[in-house]
Amino acid sequence: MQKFLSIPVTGQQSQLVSANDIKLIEQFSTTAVKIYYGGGKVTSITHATAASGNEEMRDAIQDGVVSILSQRWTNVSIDLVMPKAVSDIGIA
Amino acid sequence: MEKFLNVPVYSLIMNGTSVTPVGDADLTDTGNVFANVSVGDIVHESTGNKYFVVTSKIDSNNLTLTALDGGTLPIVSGKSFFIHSGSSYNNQLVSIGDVGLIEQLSTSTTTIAYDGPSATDLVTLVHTPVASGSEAMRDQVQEQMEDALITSWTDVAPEPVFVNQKVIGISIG
Repeated sequence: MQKFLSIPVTGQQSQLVSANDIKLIEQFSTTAVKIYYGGGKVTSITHATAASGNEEMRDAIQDGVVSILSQRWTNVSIDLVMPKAVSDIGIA
Repeated sequence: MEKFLNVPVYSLIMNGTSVTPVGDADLTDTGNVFANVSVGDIVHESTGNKYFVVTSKIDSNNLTLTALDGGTLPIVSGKSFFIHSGSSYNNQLVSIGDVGLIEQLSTSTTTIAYDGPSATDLVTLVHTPVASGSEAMRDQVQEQMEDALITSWTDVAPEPVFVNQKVIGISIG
């Protein structure tokens, strides 16, 4: 059962990010949240600068993950409203 | 069915380096850096990896402490320390899917290893200490994981209750 977060990216409309097999979500810096998956894949979400110690971007992603995973299988993705503008999403 | 523990992580208030303790103080710094510190907050003296709890605030530069794991008081000059709230926390999701093993790695760290080959398939919880030789935090994580896994699939991220231990940091890899 595949589930995704639909994250708006400035100038690119929205991009789907997997909500499956996530091990940990981290506020990596004031401008990046990282999603760590099983097997070592890491998705980085680059965003406008948050205050030091502020974790609202991580929390928004966590809330989205919990919400979409608790919905029936026909709801494949959830549109997230991010507290900071997202400028890029990448995976490594 | 994806499941997480929604772990409360007690917030970092400030960090610094100790100076020579003044009077009855167990921890002294300068610049009124303890202005936001309260009784019950957690002090992690990271140089010696010892934990304390704040028992009184003499003023915004001086604290008295109680050792949680045998640390020497007062804390002498030149020790790095971090102070976490004893009451305020944010929650961080920790996966309980594909868990291979949960270990009490040290008195203040518990690891969750996942069934994968990657170095990032290891999550470390840093917490206030258990007694030497005790595996109390490992047991609590195990029990909370079991409890979470038998709840409805729609209950994706229950918040665990850890008796006597407080998590102050979570990392991966």
